[in-house]
Amino acid sequence: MASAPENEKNASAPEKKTLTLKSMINNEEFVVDEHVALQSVTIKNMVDSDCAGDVIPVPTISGEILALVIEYCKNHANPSASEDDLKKADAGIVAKDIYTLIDLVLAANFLDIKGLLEVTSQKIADSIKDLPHQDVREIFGVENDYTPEEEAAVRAEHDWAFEGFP
Amino acid sequence: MLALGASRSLQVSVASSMSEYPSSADKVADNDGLLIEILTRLPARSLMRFKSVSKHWLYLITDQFFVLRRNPDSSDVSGLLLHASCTSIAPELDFIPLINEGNPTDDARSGSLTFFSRMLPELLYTGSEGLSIAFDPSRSPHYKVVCVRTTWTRVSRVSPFQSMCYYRMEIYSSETGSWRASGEPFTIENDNNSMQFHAGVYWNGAINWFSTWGDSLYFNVDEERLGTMPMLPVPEGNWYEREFRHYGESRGHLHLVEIYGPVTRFNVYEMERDYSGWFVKYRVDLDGVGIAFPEMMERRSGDEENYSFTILSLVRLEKDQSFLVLHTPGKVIHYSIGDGSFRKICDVAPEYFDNQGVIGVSLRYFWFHSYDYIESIACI
Repeated sequence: MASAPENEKNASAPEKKTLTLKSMINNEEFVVDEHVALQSVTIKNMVDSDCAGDVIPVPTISGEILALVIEYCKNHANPSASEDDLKKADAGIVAKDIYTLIDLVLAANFLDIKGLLEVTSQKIADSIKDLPHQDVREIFGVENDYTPEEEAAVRAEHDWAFEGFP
Repeated sequence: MLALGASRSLQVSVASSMSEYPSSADKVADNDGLLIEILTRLPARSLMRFKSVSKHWLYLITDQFFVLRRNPDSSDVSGLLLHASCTSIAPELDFIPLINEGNPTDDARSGSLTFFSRMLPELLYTGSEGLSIAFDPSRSPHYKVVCVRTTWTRVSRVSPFQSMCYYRMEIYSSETGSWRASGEPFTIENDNNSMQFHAGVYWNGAINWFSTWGDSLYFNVDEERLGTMPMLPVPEGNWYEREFRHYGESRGHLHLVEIYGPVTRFNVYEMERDYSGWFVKYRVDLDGVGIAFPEMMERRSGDEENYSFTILSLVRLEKDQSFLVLHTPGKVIHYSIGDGSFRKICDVAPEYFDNQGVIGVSLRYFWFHSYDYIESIACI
């Protein structure tokens, strides 16, 4: 499929290519180096299949979250960063409230960035593990579809896990 | 890895107009792939609580694939459960963590654990010699319990005192929730009650017992077939029966340690998968441990034949990381079989008072008091 004009375009491309990511939530734009953005498998697939225009619209992700994602990608695109540095930087990125973390994990999932998905999922798990299940229900907006009898029965199976919980 | 294929979802999202989006949390709740990604990272205690969130969460947490994904290795020993008393009906168990020793997780805190039990229906007949469980959550969420029953039958019309002991297997299946008899009653040649039916070990798809004299028996649980397992000869001398110091399974290997007399060097034997015989798997040298912990070299009163140490567990790991968990007076010790290095895991009360108020032996636990703790969220 590589036509002649296509090759010419590639040949004349500047050394350091950039991409513009645009949040479709609040129209905020971010210019990032291509190799940074390509850590997103979703963006990589778009670029590889020539679907990416000058500006890549990113639906459902706010500028605030996109900034965090890009910060993560920048850190991990830096070849001189040590494992320890990255661990610290990751911890900084996910030091957020639970609702921001949920937005972030959705963004990581949508953009298909495995490392960010894992570190955010772990942080969410750490944040909710000591919460009562009623709070978890509320955080995730889950409707309680148990009858009171059913709920009591499920709970009675694991009474020990509820010690100290409402 | 996730349910939502990224490139496909992008096309869908880009194509769709900027219609009203549901709240982020709802979208996580509706995305099983993402939910599982988060739930996999929760401690067991939280997961048991979060079964109460909704029916869908209960379904996700109890799903066999989730159970396996969370604990893919069903021989991942993270601690030891120990009980010092065999007589108590509801034993208090002590827990000794083997991973994150300094920083035990919520589910694996050192100290006493409460014992949770599942009541099984009563046996068909009384007269149980011993119960053994056959359970491997990586193969099946169901388990079986094998019971060895005995009955005495008069064999001679002449002498009413000449009777024979017949054994019979009874199997409980968690799938059916009931007991049933398996096979015909059988006798054991030269039966002198040497078969330790109370201490069966599940290995190779079979419950494996040991005999303090002569060959041992195994019972293949799937095929419901009895077999004979050869044993090492008891050494000549004043030894009247086998001196078992460890008999157990780790990562699909059956191990045996016998120690005769006060020695610090001994072999760990492993059974061939086809039951053809025992071979020397490891040679252990505890001289260094004895120097570092001289109380190990003492002879206990009442057991002058042996040094004061017991083997609580043998944990097989990759790349020569396998280790023994040793117990010396007052201590539990991690001993690497590969390089002979060792370190203290924790202290245990060095002595206890017997019911006459006399200070008892200094070793609290023996190998048959020790159970490997393997975490699983499988429902039993």
